[in-house]
Amino acid sequence: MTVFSRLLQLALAVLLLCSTLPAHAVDVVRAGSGSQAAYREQQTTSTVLMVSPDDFGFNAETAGSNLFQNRPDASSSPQKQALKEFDAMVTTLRDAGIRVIRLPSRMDARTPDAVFPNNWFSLHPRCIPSAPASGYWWGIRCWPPTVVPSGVLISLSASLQLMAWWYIG
Amino acid sequence: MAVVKDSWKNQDQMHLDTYFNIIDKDLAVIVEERIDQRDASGRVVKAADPAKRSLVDLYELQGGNYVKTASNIPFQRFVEQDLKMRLIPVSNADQLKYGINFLAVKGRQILAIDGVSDAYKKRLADAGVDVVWMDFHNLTGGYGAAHCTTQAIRGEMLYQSSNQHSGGGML
Repeated sequence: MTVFSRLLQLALAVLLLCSTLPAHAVDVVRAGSGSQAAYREQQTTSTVLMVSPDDFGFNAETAGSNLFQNRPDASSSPQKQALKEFDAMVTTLRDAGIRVIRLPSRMDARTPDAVFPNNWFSLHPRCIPSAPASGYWWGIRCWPPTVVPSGVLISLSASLQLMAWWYIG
Repeated sequence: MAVVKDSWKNQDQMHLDTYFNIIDKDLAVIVEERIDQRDASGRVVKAADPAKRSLVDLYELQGGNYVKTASNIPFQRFVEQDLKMRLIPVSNADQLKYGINFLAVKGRQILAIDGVSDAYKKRLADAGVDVVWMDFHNLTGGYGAAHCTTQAIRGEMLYQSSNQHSGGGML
């Protein structure tokens, strides 16, 4: 296993643990104590970002390594049905008092799995006001820069961007 | 910050939220084959395959940098003993039906994907979990479920004693 893939695996694990924890449960455990700290530092949010499945479908690019995708038959239209399921979830969350920021999928490229943003993460401001005019930073587009206040944490790009950030410090 | 290290290369449990998820500050679910199974007295009746165990490194923010403060803590021990959570074991069949990839809206209230076994539903109900079951059978065709479709974008730091119980919110 290369160093890069090992670091990528580590970064994903960090991100997924943090993004898995529910409202009450991001805890800081004191070093070496083996027990809970006297205080617990907890992170909560009542706001989530979701990306509508506007181009949802079979991802041929990842099919070779992802055996769990379902290849729909030619007559079915999973995108419309997926959009209904997505809309129902947004409604359920809003009914529960959660603020949902709903973004569209990019339509200038194939984005069959844009509906799953949980594995991307970026929490640096570099790509926002100071980004090159092209809107790219280390080859990955910051999306869309205008909605992101400087310094605010938001999920924008792929984990590769995080890795580049890690490498550079 | 806890970093979970998973050395088991198993595609159907490729991300943490495919084999572990938190329901409340004292309750979580995990795929049963990853943990030691115990009887009512706490005796281990079936040990997990060591190759399927995850390990945890702990980091603490010190002066603006994360410093590693502990290494290779068994994940089960970390969750049960350090975080004092009870783990509900989930069968492989229910894991494959996205039974773990739910979204916790607040303590003991989750949005989950329907299609799991009645036994799993009963286990959640017995633990006092309020579940909204959703139809996701098209979206799961892309190999993701409720948790995968959301990203928390803003956090608020709350400081409280470990004995207190906070209100709603989501991450």
